[in-house]
Amino acid sequence: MPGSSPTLAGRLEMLGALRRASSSRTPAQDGPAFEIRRHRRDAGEVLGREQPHPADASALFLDTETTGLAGGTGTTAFLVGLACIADGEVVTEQFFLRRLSGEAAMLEALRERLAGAATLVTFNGRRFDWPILEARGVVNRTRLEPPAQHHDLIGAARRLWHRPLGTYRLSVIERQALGIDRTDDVDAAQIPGLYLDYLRTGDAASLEPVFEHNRQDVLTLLHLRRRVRRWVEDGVEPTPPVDWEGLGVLRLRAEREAHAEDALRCALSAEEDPASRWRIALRLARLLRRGGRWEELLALWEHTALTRGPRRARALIEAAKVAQRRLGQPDRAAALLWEAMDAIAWLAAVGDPNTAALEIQVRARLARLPAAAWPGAMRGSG
Amino acid sequence: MSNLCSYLRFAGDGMTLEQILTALRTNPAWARCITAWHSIPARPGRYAPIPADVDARLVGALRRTGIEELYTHQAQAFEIVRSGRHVAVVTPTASGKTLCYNLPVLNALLAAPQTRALYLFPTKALSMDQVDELQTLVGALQADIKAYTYDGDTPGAARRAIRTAGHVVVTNPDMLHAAILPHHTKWLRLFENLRYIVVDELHTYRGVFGSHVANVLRRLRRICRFYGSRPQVIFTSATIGNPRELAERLLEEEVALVDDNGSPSGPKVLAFYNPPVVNRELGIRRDALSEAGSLAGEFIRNRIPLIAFARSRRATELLTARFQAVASDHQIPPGRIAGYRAGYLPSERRAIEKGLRDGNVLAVAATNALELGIDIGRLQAALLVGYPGTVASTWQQAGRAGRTQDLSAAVLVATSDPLDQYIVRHPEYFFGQSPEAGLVNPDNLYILTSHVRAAAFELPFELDERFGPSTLPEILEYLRSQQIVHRDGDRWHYVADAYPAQDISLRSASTENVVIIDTTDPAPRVVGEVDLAGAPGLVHEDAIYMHLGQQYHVDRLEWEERKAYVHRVEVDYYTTAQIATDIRVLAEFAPGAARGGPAHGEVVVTYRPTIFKKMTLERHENVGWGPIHLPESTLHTTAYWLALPALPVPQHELQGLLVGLSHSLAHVAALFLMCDPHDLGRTYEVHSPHTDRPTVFLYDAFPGGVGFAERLYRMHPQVLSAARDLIAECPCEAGCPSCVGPVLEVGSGGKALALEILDARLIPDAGR
Repeated sequence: MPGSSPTLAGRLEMLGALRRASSSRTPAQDGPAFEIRRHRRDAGEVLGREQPHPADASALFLDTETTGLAGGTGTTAFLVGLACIADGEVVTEQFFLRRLSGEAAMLEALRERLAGAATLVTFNGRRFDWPILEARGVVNRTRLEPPAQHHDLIGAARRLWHRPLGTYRLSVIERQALGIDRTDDVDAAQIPGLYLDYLRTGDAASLEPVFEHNRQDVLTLLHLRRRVRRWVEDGVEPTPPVDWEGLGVLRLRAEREAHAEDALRCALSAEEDPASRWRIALRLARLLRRGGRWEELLALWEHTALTRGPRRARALIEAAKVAQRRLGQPDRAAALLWEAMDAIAWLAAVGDPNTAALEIQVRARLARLPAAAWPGAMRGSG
Repeated sequence: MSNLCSYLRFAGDGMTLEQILTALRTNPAWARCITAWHSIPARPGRYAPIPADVDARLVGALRRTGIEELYTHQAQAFEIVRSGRHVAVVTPTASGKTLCYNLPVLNALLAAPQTRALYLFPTKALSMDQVDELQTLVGALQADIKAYTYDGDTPGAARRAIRTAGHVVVTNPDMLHAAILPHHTKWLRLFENLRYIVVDELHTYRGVFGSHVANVLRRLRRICRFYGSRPQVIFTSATIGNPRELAERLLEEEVALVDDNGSPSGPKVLAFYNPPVVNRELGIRRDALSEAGSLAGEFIRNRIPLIAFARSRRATELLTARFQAVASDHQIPPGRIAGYRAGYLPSERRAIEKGLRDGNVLAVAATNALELGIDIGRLQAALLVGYPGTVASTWQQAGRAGRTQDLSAAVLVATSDPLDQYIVRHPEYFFGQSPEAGLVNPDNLYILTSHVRAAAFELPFELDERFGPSTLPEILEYLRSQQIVHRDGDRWHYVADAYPAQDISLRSASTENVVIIDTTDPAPRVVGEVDLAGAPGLVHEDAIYMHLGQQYHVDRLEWEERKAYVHRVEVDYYTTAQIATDIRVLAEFAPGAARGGPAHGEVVVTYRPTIFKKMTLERHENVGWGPIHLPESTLHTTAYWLALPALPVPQHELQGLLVGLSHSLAHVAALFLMCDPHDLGRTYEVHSPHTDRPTVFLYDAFPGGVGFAERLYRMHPQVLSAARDLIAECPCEAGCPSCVGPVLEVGSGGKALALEILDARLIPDAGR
């Protein structure tokens, strides 16, 4: 409570202030409407011995805390955390909305800050953080320009960890994949309420855990980004938990074919579920086909055929196609198709309903092969 | 019904509509039941040249679609829009009202391609219809103008394109409210360039729905102001008593009116038919549904395309069954007969609409779900089974017949409902009456507060901003106490962690439904749904629910889960539920009741479903009953009440009098208010703790009320004298459902006493 000199004017002022406070005024009325809280830490310290990824020198990492999770125009980002790497240090800047009336000024400052950045890195920022900032920008008549590049890590996180961890929530990945342990972290669901309490009481002390939470979030983005880059782009051997197939897909997208192949082969050898094996085989097959590696492709299908059920027949058909069309070996193709017929016969015996279509397909392919290629037994049985 | 057929077969096969009508008027058995025969001569069209400033490309496109000139009202509307004013165009169906807005909108789009227009239709079905029509014109125009429907069915990928590139966005108020306004920043291009808002079917925006829509329009225009656009609004409406007032109430600005219809129409007949009295003592008339069924048979077997409107789902089902019977007697495939009502799945409804348009469906029995401007093509005859409740909707339903230049006919078959009886016995009231006024109360505190909340989510409120009435500061203060908004500096900011629009349904009953699941077969199947308000009365346990002519027995109602489990049955009865009502006065706005007389104010009504009765399908006789176990509910609303003077009569007679008065008053009141009879509740107290007198209450069935109570208070003298006429002119001896209610409920002296009290004590100048 400011002012101790009990002049008449002062007392009237205080009375008025009290009355207003009891109705609508809030105590957070003095000082700037928004502030930027800066922290600098040695990069090695933040990343635990490791150095930041050189490619991230020009990236800006962003994570927001908002008044709600509902989205739409009425959700405000009251805390925008940024991190970047400068001179071997990790600099975090947190734009904090001390009063709601400061939003336009804060967004304007943020706009200027973002203008220099080439790349924005977020986690679910495409769907959540950025649309909120953009909408609030429009409401406050500040047009935030989207940065030239926006890397949303959620996609990579989903590919790499959804299956092994059962989720791709940042907090779980952070703990179980990055090995970061937070102590006394605030429950994210309580953050909107804490900010609302602050608005009503003006007591920023209770927000300290929120600042810390947000700071840690952006630092985690740094870790995550580094981890993803090293695994995907640099081809570094990953440490579990990891989804090899997801890693293979990410490496393919990053045009790291050799490393993608490694990952997919690891995935295939580790996978037991037939449906997943088939999917991985298809991905590998595409890669081998692109490289014109026909013998290896044939081997892949023959290997994939070492199973039961309709996929055995399909894999053999695929293998036969490679033998016939790519390797020009009709005999080998015929043998494979003949094997496929056996597989189909077995399927029919166990009552699989899809055998007819498969059988027609195999017979059609056999019919197109020169008769000389047919194995003797088959020619006889006609 | 077979026992009626002997004299009902007045017409032979292969007759034209004209021949059927002649037969109807000359056959004595029918003619004596006809209380009004209103012929409307064919009206020639009046035309005006296409205005000179209509773009030449548009003139060309109109020519290609066969339009060389405009109707006078179309030209007039164009003129008003050009002058920059808002306009309301009030003309009947099929009078070319869509051109009244498509013409100025397309013309503006050709002149300035960045222009945007927003079309609002009350239902999804209607917007699809209208987009098709607009597309046809745009197609003929060969211009790059994109019109899109944006509703719940629009795929995600298409939405972004619509937001940025759609010149004309066609949607409904619900979608605007829940999906567009809360995300207005994504619709920047639309709102910055929004020049026209088209509000079609204005007359449907009344009551609770209209009050919500008025607030949605407040929010829409608030957002337009933010983006610096000032769109003009073009309303179109079917005929109602106060189109201009309603439009101005919705818009809170001046609106010009165009109501001089220049389109031609063929000759029409509107006849009133009152089924004959079969039991004078009890005042029982022959059942309107049977009569309508027989009459419909005449049209159906002569292959005259027919639509029949019934007032309830149940009646629709019964009529459909009757139509099917007629069809099978005359080798008409059952597929050419259809039922149509809320609760059918959308795909079923679309199929029926299409069938009507292309002539595959010959006859349809519908509820007013089909009353709106859904295009079902050209029907020749309309049967209104029961007075639709208002003059306006009677004309709208009758207008479903006769969109061509040919003769068309509509017949209103009266039920024994008091309102029906009053109307068919006072055709001069109906034909002399301008249609009812559409009432809205955008300032209903419940409705207003929920939209202030939604508006705060969309944009912060300035301290001096206006949003409807002057109570905005109090509402914001209240929302602050609920931790929904926070004041900082000169603004109120939204701070709650919730998306407010999804908690608000514009149609009070439409969000929450009870799903009906048929468990007869091993795989359970959803057969329909009923709205939550109607559920206690329709799908309580042991109720008989009807859908598509099939009866279902309700085995279990999971109230919390909103699910009713049913199985198919065939029984000869239906069920009807009874609900006990309690009323408590909280505040009286207009005094008078203590002295004996009318008043209105705030009340709390408590409902408790008690029992249901089983009634036979044939004779509506009570053959059993059972209890209903459902939670009680309360309603905080406004009511009109009438305290009677102290009367020296025994308690049971007094009770009969109150039953009779509330019965007749409630029905007459619905005549004066443009409301569904279900929008108005009624109850009475033999000794009201509030007035200290015997008192009759009529209350608004929506929380907070939409203005019915006050309106009734102001129209009190007319309401009383109409109730008096209704009772005095009823041919029954001591009471029937058509005046004071059945004798069993009002007692042998109830009718006479009611009349006496009305004449001697309540109507000062009734000494006629």
